[in-house]
Amino acid sequence: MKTLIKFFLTYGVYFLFALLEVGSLLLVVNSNKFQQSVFFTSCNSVSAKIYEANQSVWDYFGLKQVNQELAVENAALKNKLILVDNQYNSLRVDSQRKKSIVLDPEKEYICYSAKVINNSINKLQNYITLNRGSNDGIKEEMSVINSQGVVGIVKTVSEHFSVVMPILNPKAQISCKIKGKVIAANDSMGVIKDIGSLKWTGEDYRYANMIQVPRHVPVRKGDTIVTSGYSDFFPEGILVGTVEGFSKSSDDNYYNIKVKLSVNFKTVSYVDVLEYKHRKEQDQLQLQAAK
Amino acid sequence: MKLILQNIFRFIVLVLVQVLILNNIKFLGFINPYLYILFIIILPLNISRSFLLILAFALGLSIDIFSNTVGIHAFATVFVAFMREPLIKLLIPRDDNHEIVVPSMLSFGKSQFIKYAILMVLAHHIVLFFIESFSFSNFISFSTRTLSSAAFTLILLLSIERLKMRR
Repeated sequence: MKTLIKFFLTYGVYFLFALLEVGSLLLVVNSNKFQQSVFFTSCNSVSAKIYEANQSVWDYFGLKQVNQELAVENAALKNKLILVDNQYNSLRVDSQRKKSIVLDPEKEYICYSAKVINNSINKLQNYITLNRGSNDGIKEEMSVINSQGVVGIVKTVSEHFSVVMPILNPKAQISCKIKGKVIAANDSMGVIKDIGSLKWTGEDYRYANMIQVPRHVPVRKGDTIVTSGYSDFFPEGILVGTVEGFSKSSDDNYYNIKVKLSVNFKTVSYVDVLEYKHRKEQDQLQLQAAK
Repeated sequence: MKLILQNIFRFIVLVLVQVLILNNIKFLGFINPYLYILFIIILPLNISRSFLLILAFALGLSIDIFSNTVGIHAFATVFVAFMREPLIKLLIPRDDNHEIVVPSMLSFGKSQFIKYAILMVLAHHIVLFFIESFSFSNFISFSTRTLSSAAFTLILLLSIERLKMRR
């Protein structure tokens, strides 16, 4: 007996060590079981309380960002309200066929809907034919969009038909701007990074290239590309696509940005043709100023 | 008495700092310093070895409970506590051993203490990350995680010790 006690006194540490290590290993191995027991996890009231107090402190540091997000969302909702209001007012007045929609609160557009009756995507210069013509009010150089985004520009018009030059035509160059990632859905704010023009490369109907974007612009994958509103054809802020990738060419100071087009040109079937109401006025004024 | 209160206070502060601040760092996605091991490193030398093990188990388990990793920290901390005494005997010549009560840069000497801290932290992190993953199958990721976190812990630990020395 004496020797046993002596033995434990000398080697007790090792037993304790082994015991504790085996105990913690058992805890690890059975951790799934213990995760469910409240005592061993942060669900127990002491640690939960401490975490709660800690969180209430950290919450204050997040307030600024929360405020900013709310402001952005507010602005987006306001913009939407203006849009809906304008649409509602114009729909009340106009006839069934012609509905005047307001995309930009300052510029008014009339929207004609049309069906695509002929379409190509795999040629070097593609064209889309629509079943509406000058009899229906379509004129040359009107802009064509659909619910997904920008389609193209009306090129020639006959009495009953019109031909659209889509983005998938190297002759069509559309002035676009790069917006940062959109925070709230459908918000028209976003940070505008730079303006460039969009040109199709003639290879893939899903992608186009954006040129003339200087290198200092912080382009990121996933940024949205929208129309700039600087060219006469398109209202501002219509979706064109998203940045898929970009490369810096070695010989000049511009990015070569690959844009994934938002419109699926393969399946495009119904489009909206937009007429800018004050176009003539604007053109005349610009001509006068240039004289 | 003062030493006991000091150590109780240190225990609580280290656990809170660990779970509330350091566990949220996630620097570069995987670097997570485990400073709480400082408690074991600078615990007085004159306490019994069994008590040291029990304290280590308590410390590890408290960290475990807060970070929902039952047993992992307890295992690593107990392991480090167990190998503390042999390690000190190895580093410090036997005849100086009895005068030292609290390990620090002053009592051990700078280079000896740094060696001691490095070995303790490394042992702790290696055991910890090994138990966490339970395999060496992804050895590169294992070693980068271990070494970077250990380096981070050491920087924190040695700077704290350095500050104490100046005071």
